[in-house]
Amino acid sequence: MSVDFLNIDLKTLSNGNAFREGGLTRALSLGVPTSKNEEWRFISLKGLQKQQFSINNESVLEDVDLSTFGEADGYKLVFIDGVFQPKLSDSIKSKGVSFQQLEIPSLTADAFDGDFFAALNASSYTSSVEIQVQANTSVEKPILLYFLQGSKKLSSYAAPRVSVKVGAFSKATIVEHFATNVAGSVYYNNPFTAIEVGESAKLTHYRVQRESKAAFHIARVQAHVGKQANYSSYTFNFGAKLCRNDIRAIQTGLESHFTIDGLVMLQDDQVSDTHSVMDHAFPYGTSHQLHKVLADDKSHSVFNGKIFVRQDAQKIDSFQENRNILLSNNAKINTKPQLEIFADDVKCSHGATIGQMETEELFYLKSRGLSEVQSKLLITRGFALEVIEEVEIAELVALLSDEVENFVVKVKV
Amino acid sequence: MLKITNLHAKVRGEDVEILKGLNLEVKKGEVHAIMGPNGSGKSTLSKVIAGHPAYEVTEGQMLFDGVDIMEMDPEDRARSGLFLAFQYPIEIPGVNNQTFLRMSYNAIAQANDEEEMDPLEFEDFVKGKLDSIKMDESFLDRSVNTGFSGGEKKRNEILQMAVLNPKLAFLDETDSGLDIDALQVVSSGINLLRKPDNAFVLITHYQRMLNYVEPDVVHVMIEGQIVKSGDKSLALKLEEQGYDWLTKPHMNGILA
Repeated sequence: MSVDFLNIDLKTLSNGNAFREGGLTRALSLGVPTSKNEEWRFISLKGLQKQQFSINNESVLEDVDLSTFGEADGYKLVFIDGVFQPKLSDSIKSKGVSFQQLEIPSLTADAFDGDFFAALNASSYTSSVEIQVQANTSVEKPILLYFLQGSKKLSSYAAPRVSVKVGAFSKATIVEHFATNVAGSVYYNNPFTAIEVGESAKLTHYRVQRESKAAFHIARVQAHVGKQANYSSYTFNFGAKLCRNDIRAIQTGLESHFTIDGLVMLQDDQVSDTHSVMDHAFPYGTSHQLHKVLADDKSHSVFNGKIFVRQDAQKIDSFQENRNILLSNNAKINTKPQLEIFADDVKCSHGATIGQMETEELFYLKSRGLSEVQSKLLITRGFALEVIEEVEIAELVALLSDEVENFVVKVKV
Repeated sequence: MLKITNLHAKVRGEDVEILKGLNLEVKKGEVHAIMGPNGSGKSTLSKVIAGHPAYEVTEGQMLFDGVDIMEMDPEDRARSGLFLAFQYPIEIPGVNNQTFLRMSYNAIAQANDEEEMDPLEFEDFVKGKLDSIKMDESFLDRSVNTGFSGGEKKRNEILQMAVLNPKLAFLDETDSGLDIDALQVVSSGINLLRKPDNAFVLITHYQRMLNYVEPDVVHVMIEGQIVKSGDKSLALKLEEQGYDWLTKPHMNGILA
């Protein structure tokens, strides 16, 4: 039994590991989703399915160039082709923080029941790690998870599995950063990240996806957010040929907050699809989602943002906005904001805009003497920087701003 | 400086004329006020002069310093010394106010063969301008107009005007929505910029700003035309009597 685009014997891999076996059974019964599936209707996985990916079984690497990840100060945890590399990683010497590799992952709640790729990760994870922050702990430095993938020789399959548990009243920042040193390398990354934020705790989660432009990146993130807790997530999708990013935040107590902001920048024939769920199951929750997209050339962006407000979840205040700028006549946007509200006393706003550059913005800048080209580039840059401004790690802001600059100089206006 | 003759304009793609044969002449050193009821075409006039792409001029002439500006792009009009303070300044998230001001200053300087400024020089220059309109330095680090209050946006327009030092500035309802303090700040900002070789056109509903910025000429605009011009006493009369005494005969064709 196998998955046809993986050159991996999943049956043997999962043998004797109930967690993997469960994942495999689910994956095989679900099958690879097709565009007939409502959640997958705008993109095609055929490009992925044409490939053959293998797990990189080479021995542990010691000399690897990690400069692409930038200079941010923090505790580095390095994965090569989805496999955790203790020799390249820092030990986290911060009081109240523990880190371990797990043979068998712990998963207290599964928000991706029925999802093929989550099941595939469960059956075939290439490494599973867990970061635990005890209660009443402030982790001063960010925890930096660096995922480096891609080579000339091998079309690698990676399925890192990360669990982050932040105890009550604690505060931490994690960065998940996906990148390659081999531009144009073909590979497939299928990460799964499970987060639990305890009572009154705060977790800031930056996700930077700068995969090879020929790579496939299909990521799942779930966050269970406790009473009065704050989960703030900022996702930057710049790389990959095909990126599918699903993020599900679930309120598990009163008065919790999520922020799920995102910036997507696409060029050439890149495809990016973001599906998010903000699930308000308890009263007095708040949420904020600003998802911005710049689509150039023949690229294609999909956004599907669901806000659930359950029956008992009164006094919810939720904001969602998806703003898209088409930078070329051949780029394509699909957007679908969705509200499902079962409570009667809530405040939810959502909206989506798709446009060329705003005429009024352009006129305003031109009326100040700026040329058409200068004005368009300024607006494009500003549009992207609005999300980057929220990042609190200066080195990461610099790296992301450079990405914006590299993107903007290629825009033909 | 500005000579507008028989100007007709409409929204591009629509049939209804908004400006219907407007005449206006502004000379160096003058301050003009254009008053008029809602919908009379005051804002359209300012946008047509600045070159807004949504409007189409169907007839007439606009000469600025003797040059026909009709076919000029908005940026070229700005570079030749025209400035429009917007009624509703546009928010541009993510674009730093100081960077924007410097790019704008340099674009205009470059077009006029003047010295451009590097970021450090410009910072000193712009801080001097800030003081004159009582704006805090933190304005410079914020995104252009983003999250600014109404009064802050209007002051930011005056700051831009102070930085760009135009020959002719149109101020489109810069006074609306300002409290008395903000109105005085904005007015003194304008007065500081008044020089013998520049000119201002204030578009306003109310006489109150004209207490602080004294106009040389007051025009009344109704239905796309300037129907009456006079000195500042005309503004007071409008404040007391409204526009009815002008609109009714106009409707009957007496003034037209």
